[in-house]
Amino acid sequence: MGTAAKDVIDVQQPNNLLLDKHVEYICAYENKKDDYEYVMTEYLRMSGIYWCITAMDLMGHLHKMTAEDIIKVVKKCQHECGGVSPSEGHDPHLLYTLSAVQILCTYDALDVVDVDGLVLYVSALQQEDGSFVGDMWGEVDTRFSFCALACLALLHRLDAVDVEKAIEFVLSCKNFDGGFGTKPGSESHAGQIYCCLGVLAITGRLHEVDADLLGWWLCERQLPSGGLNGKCLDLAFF
Amino acid sequence: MHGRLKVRTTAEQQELKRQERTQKLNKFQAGFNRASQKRLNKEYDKESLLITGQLLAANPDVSTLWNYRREIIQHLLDVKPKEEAQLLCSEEQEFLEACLRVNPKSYGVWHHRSWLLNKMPTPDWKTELQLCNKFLEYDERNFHCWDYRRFVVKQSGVSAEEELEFTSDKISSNFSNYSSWYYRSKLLPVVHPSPDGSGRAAEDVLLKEFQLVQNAFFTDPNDQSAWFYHRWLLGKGEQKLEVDCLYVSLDPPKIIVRLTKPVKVGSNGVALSVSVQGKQLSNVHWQNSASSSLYGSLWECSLQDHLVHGSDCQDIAVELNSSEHTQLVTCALGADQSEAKAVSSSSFCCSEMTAAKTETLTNELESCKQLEELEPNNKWALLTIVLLMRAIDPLRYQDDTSRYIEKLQDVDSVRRNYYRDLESKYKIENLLERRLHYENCVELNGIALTALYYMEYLATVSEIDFSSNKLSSLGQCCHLRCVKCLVLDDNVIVSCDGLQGLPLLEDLSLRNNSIFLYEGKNVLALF
Repeated sequence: MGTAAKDVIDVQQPNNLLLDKHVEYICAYENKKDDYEYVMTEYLRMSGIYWCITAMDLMGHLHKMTAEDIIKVVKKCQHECGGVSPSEGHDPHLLYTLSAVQILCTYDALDVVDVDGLVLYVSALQQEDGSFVGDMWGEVDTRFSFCALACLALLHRLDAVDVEKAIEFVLSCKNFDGGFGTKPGSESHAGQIYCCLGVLAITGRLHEVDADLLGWWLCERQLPSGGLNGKCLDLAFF
Repeated sequence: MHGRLKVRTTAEQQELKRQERTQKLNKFQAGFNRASQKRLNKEYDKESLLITGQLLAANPDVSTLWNYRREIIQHLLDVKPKEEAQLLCSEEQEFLEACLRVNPKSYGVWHHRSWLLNKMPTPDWKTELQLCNKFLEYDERNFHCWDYRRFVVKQSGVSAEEELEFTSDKISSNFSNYSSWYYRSKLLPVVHPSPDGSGRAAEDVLLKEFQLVQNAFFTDPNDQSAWFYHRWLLGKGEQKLEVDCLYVSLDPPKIIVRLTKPVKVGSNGVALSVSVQGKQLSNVHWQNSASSSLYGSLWECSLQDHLVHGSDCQDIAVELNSSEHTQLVTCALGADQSEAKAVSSSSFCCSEMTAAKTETLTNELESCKQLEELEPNNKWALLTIVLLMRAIDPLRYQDDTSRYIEKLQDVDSVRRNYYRDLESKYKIENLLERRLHYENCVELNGIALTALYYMEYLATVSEIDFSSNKLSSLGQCCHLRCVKCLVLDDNVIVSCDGLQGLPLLEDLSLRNNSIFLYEGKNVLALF
């Protein structure tokens, strides 16, 4: 009995990155407000905006996005509690609070929101063991540790939380393969690893990572197609 | 004409799909708007449950709808008598299971379930465990399910022993089970803790695991999980904090302390105090060799005005004080000496192994070599052979290790740069194992080094030759605190970053590298 290797099938693929097409695609998105995908992804819109403008910025085409409209949207999505929702009519959450801050930093427009409110919202989500919940409904995940610390780092307000405890919690999620999971005891996953390394990088504690071991686990994510999977024996999707 | 099958054209198919999607879209928006309106009016009734249920069954990632659903359920739990409340919760459990069958990997569904179980008047944890078992049958790698299982185990007091049994069952029915092996790595140290308090599992238990994992990779040599687990079994426990080396010099007067792991020295960190001739010095300013970080394993301080030329023997003592460990290290600077060191006697790579462990690992090595004969291109066998040789006796097997690593670069060429770095690391480890770093002059030239490791261990060396290698960056050279002469010819060095601030550097050679022009100017600026 052998293990079937999961990987994407190699079909005729272009050999260069078609940047112009990517720019076109992202630009067009702004005008598809009645489209199926646009409406059905409303629940993560704020992050979607962040991904789009960052991609455009990396490609040198940020000016093609309408900054004023985007900033207006962000401002509308900050709730009284200080947190930000993915879209109007949705509840605030740490994930979208970070995306909002990232967007505003890109446009150097942090002054349009209540920054103290943001800080208050984020810091109140820290638990006794140093972990962060995503919102008042209590889901704990190292993704949220990253969201909280990245957010506060961008706002220069890391003083608002117990950073040592936050680090302690993240380190308690370290696994036998050098990777990190969602909570203490959870299996390593590349997405979680990104978030945990993010926390350790922001707080100057990368030396706590077994870089050689984790580096090996990460390079084992590459499949023959060239793509990367998120964990051992998964399909490539990164 | 009758009986003719109408075949739709692509354009017709696309139009049909577009219509379907528009319908779905309108339905969703109408439902979401209705739910939002009811929520605004604080309506927590059957209709709210119905609407949110329909929306969430198809769109479980819309967390705002789960939030509203929780408000509804909380309200109903508050107003209903206990039996009705329990019934409501059971119905919710059924609803969630239906959602999971369609979307077994939705964060929203699993989180809502754990919220529900915490709210239920009489939760049935056994059923929950069975649910987990069912979903792990569908997909044993579903980490949401494993996480939920750990939540259930914690809430219901299932023992670590029982969970360990569970992983044994899972592994014996199917070895390809990374998640189970991983869970095992967490449970073993809890169920069978090592008496030395290292946090690892007891040795006899770990040695039995080798047998288990060997069965796994012989059954399916291409299954990665067992090989990853094997590498963990071979690993060492957490490094204990200790002083590894104390170095004193007269010209310039300074102390260098090397620790076994990176720490912060000073306030909120570890304390290092210095005494000369029995008198403790105040105002000692410790500097970290890795200047960009607060943490480091190599610390230096100046002893200007404290060490005297032409004196009789001078005694220097350094005391390490941390929450983990206290240690006093002394060193004597003789009358005619300009430098002195006190070093740890423990071997660099080889921790002392019990006879049982040596025997087990040697048998493992034999087995892996047999596997290699059957499957000469199996990179896992090759890599594990290398790891075993390093664990048993790095110096004895050094030539074999090189041969195997070369083969690995061929068989698993996508990761050849990893193997080259690994080989570089081993070569430097071998040098340290031979204690060559206690000499004044170290030659590491012409050995295909692609990266520098353990440079803190070369902190007291004054002449170093790294020429004719494949080095591209020098970041690690910041630890070469006593180097006077550094030869880096014939490499592929791109940047001189790492050479700035080396206090004793007098001779530097960088011929035949890949340094950019502007970097060249930086090099001149160093002097």
